[in-house]
Amino acid sequence: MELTEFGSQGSLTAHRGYHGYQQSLRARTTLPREANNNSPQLPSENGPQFGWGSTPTPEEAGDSDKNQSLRELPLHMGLKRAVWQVQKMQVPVVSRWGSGINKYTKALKRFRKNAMGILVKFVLWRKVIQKIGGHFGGGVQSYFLFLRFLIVLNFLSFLLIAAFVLIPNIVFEAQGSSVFSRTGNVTENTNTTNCEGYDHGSDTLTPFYQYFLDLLSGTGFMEYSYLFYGFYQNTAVISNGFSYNIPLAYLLTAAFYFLFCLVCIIVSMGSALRVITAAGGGAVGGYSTLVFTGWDHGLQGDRATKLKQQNLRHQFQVELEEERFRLKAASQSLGQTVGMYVLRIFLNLVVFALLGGAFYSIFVATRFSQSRQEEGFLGLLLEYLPSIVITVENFVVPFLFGKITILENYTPSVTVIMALLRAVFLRLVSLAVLLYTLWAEITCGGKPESAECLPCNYNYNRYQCWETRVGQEMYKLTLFDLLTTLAVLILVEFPRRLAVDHCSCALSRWLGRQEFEVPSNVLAVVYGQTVVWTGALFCPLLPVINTIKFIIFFYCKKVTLFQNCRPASRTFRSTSSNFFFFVVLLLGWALASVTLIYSVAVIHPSYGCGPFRSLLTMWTIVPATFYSLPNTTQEFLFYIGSQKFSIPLFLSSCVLLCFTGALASVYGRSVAQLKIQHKNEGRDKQFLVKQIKEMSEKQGKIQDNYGNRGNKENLGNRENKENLGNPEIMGSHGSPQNPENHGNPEGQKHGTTESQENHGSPEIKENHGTPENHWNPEEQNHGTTEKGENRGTPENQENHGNPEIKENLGTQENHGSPEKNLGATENKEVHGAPEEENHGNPESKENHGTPENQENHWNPGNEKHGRTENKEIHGTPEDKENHGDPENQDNPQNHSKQSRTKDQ
Amino acid sequence: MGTTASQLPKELLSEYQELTFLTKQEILLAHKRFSELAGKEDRHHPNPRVPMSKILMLPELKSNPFRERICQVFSTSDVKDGSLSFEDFLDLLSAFSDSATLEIKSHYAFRIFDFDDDGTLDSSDLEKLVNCLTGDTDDTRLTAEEMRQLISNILEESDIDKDGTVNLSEFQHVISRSPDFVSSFKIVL
Repeated sequence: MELTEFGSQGSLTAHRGYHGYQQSLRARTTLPREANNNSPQLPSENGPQFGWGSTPTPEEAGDSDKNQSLRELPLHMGLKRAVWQVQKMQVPVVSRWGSGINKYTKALKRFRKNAMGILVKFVLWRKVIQKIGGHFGGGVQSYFLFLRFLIVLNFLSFLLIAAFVLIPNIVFEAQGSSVFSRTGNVTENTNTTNCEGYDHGSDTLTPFYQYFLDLLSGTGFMEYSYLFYGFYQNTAVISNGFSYNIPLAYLLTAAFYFLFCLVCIIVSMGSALRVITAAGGGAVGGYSTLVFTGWDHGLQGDRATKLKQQNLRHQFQVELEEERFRLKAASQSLGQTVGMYVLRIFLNLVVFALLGGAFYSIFVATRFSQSRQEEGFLGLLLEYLPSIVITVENFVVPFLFGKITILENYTPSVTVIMALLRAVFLRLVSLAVLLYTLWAEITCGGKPESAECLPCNYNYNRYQCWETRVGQEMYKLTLFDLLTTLAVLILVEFPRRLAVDHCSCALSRWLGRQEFEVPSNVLAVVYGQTVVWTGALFCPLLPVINTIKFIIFFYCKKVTLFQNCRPASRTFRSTSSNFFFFVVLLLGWALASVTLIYSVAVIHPSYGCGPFRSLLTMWTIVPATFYSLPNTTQEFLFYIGSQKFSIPLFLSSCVLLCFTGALASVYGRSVAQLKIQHKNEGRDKQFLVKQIKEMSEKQGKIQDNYGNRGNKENLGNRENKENLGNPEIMGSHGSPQNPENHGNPEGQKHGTTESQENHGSPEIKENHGTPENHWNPEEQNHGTTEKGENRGTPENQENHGNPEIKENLGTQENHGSPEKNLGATENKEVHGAPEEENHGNPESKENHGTPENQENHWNPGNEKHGRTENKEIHGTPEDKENHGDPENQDNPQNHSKQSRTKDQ
Repeated sequence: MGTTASQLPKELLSEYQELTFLTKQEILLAHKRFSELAGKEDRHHPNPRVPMSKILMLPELKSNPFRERICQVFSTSDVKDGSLSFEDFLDLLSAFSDSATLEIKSHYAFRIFDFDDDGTLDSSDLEKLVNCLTGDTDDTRLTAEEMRQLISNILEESDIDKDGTVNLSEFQHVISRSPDFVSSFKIVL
């Protein structure tokens, strides 16, 4: 128990000036004190209390978290070990059953921890991403995390598609046609027979390079393969009660794929949003957060550090500039404001003109490439024309937008957002324009009754299998995106770095190393993903192609990041940006799902190819299958679809929505209130601290009055006061057999005294504030000494004669501060003060009044002697007994001798 | 404590696991790195202290502008020379580890930023802090005017009781609003 004293006392003194921890520690130590507070009521002779007999019960409750909380204490290892050992000593008190449970839970916890440790190793690219975060900060890291999320998403989608479409198709193909039955021709239309031809031209002899061109454009041997819609059969297998309808599976898989992606996005978005909400929307302003949390301690290497510093400086300057900007804007004259708005409107018009031009060029390029049929390389170029136009525009136009937004004179943060939003708009709408152009070509501008489309409901002459054609477009976009990334890496980024590193001409210095711009990179990835979603129905293997593409992306970006890039001069906050990424992704998803729904529900599927040939629309397969279900199932599903079911469902979901909305607003309000309360509490605390400071200053003045003749001895005073005032000490002295009991109150006593002192007088803070002071070996001696001294019950009187203890006492006295020695030398004058204190303390009087404590009374007096050994004390009535005790009289002499020798 | 032996005793290892946020592998790695730093001359000393100059050679700390403060905060040396014993070193790694709580991280961050060890961040502490962040040379420092503006803004925002300094609870209040802090206050060997 000596260790308890050691630990708790030490921990309380060690971190003077850090209020929060004192409080938590005090909370830890109050439990035993409360248990002991009852002790004076017990007759001390016949009721020897075991401090540890009663204390473990309340402590046990918090046992499970103990190690955790110990870890969380901001103490150094020596202290933590001491506290821990004390806690370990208390464990055996727990019953056998309890300890068994304890052991079990501990083992379970360890197992879980180990399992988590192993699982963490399997997380994809954990090390790489960590390293990236270390070198380039959280913003860039969030890009890679996002990329990883998409890779996993695509791979899971591929598994879904493979399990329900690809593998059944392969298996049935291999089985032969014995179990096949074509899904019935729902539309028995004789006019359409001439629409059923599908010439995919794979049987013609082709030159070698043609294979390469086919690979790039998805034509030739690629066209009629599992890659594209056209290859899949409209077969259904029905044998031995097992039936598998490939068209239905195809459609439902696509639907589930979309739903699955939506759920994944929403879930990730939710977690990103939760982080933002937890951040409180940045109610506490940016400067302090930037300064206090700006440094990333994971950074390694001089270059990264320099860049980070540069980065932070830039950020400070930008923020400050922004503030000055706001001030300037507030003081702007009306004319200037009007001028600025006119400029902005004009520039917005320019932006719209640019966007319009970009969209029109995509439209023209798509139409041109669809209308011309060329062979060879020119054909390939034609095939790729829309992709090239889109990619080039995505390079050029955002760059122009960046320049325009600078002119617009927004605050820097708004500038970034504006540039980004315009880039998003450009990316997604250019894809939409491409799709629109295709749609117009396929459906003859939405007029199926026009001459070209009349026989087959779509433009059969040009698109024998239009789904495959759309799939090919998406395939080309995906592939081209990958190729441009690789080309840019090899042809632009590496040469630029080489130029910057090895050439000192003005141009290369002006260029500098490339920055890794998170927003534009994220947009590129989102665009790629949107293309994949759009094409997934027509090209079922697109997700797996995309998985591979993103994996290549990941490594390319990593290489270019480490080799060619410097961190961006403007950081992108990773928390808010994560959410933004997902919002953009959701926009892409919405665009893709509109395409999907439209092509499933409205456009007539090709007659000559694919699983839906001969159906009116793709959706027709669902009702057709529905009517082939057993009657009860049909009725059940009808019931679910009927108003009887759907209206109550709708109503109840409305109620639920209202309830959730109300709950959310209540939470929001309580969050706001808690914020206010938080602020008030802070003010309360400050007020109390101020009051305590004032009171202690007053007290300090009184003490000064006493001490002006000599030197006041703060530590001595207080300890004396405490000794008399603290009932536990009286109680524990009554039980000489119980040294453990001693340890506890001692520790607490120190705790209380010193934390009071801490709040109270600033002078003491200086004395004790440095944690090092308290962790000398002398401090340990201090504890021991007091114990020995307090145990100075008649049996232990010899102890006082023990030179070691005297020595310890001496050290202890020295230990506090230089003033202590002074106090000891000039003790005659000083000792008015402790006397005053003791008498003035009502608690001590009470203690003296209790008959049980009377015979113990010499003991605190004794301790007082130990410290201050003044003559006047003996004159006070309470100390009469002290004089009566012969050994006790010895004591002061011993001690005074001791202190005198020390002073010499 | 025999920490210089090439292998850590098993019970000591489990004790360290209990008392820090580090895993077994991390403790062993830390021990290996520390023994390398301690070198041969101290091998027989029971509880060697590695001087600050050697600790700062670690690549993880080498370029950190707060490296000296970090050593001083975690050092339990009597003479305040910033030297670290192995246990101090573990304390350091534990506070900077992945799994350490926001509470403990913010506590140590505060002490690192408290350059004069007086328990509050006053404007001179803040100035030093900002200089560390931007680089402490003439051409990287903020101008006097910018610095003044920045510090008054910081105090305006986070000094709730308006006593001209930021204390620990005010500091933690700011930190708790910044979810990025836990991930950036991290040093992994």
